[in-house]
Amino acid sequence: MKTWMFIILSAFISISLQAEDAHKHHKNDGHKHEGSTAEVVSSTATETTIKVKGMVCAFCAQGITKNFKSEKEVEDVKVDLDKMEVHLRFKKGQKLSRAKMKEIITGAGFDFVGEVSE
Amino acid sequence: MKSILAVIGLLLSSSSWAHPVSFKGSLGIMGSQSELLSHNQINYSATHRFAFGAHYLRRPNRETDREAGFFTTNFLLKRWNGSSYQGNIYALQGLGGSDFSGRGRLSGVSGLQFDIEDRELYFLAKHLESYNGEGSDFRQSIVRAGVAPYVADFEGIHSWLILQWQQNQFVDEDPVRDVTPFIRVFYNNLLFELGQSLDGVTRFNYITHF
Repeated sequence: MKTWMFIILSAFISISLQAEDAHKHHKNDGHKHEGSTAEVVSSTATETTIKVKGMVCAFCAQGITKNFKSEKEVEDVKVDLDKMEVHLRFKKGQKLSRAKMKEIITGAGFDFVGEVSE
Repeated sequence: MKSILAVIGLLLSSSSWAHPVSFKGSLGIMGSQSELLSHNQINYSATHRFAFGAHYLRRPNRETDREAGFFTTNFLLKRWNGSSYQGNIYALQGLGGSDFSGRGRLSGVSGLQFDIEDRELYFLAKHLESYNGEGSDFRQSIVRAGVAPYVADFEGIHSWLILQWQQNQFVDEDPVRDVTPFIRVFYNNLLFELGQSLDGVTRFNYITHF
């Protein structure tokens, strides 16, 4: 059993180090992206960004992506835990109402702060 | 002093790794397995504050296994959504049957849980107790604290190192306490934990939700 625990612990450390490295690269990429396209991401006819309070756990935030993706108007959902934001991309010519977005966020157990452009 | 510690213990008891109420419309399946006790449960969250649940507990025994099963109602009593943290208090009440006392009886179950976490630290405490007409036949208290060795993105693989103190007490027996270090890994909607107590008991926990 000790041998198994050692193997599992070694695998865990390897995953941790690689994941941390990947996260750093992703953050760097994110800064570049933010600088060049902030206006587009904030709030346009086809995209919006929602500020969410309490969204600290990726496992618990799965309900946000699941419930937004079930809406026919939504094409894609991205969750940014660093900024506590949810980015929504809508299908052409469509958008969710503010009330519906708030309903989904609060239904997932978090506080809806508002759209970033507000 | 003992009563204060008992109240704190009760308030801090139940498990943050297993929220008994999740997002609206979700189905959560979770469990903890060891050679001493297995506990599996399924919960359907009608809202983010209320869920229906079913629990099955089994205690392996040299002569015959002991079992208990309950249907529960789970409540999110209080949630703090902070700018960098989330804290919760949950309670559950249920009714079912148990033969932990030696023969099958109609039994009730109650639980209380507190947890708080940010992206790097987490703390949980919970207490679960089943009882019949003659009193308590099983009590379980768990206190755990965890640290994330790195902060992962939403879509990344998340890992935690967790230290858990646990006390189980069955009717007419002395309480059994142990300390278990766990490794937790989760990705998307699948989470598992593996640990081995300082007394050599291997423990495995899992959660998934849809």
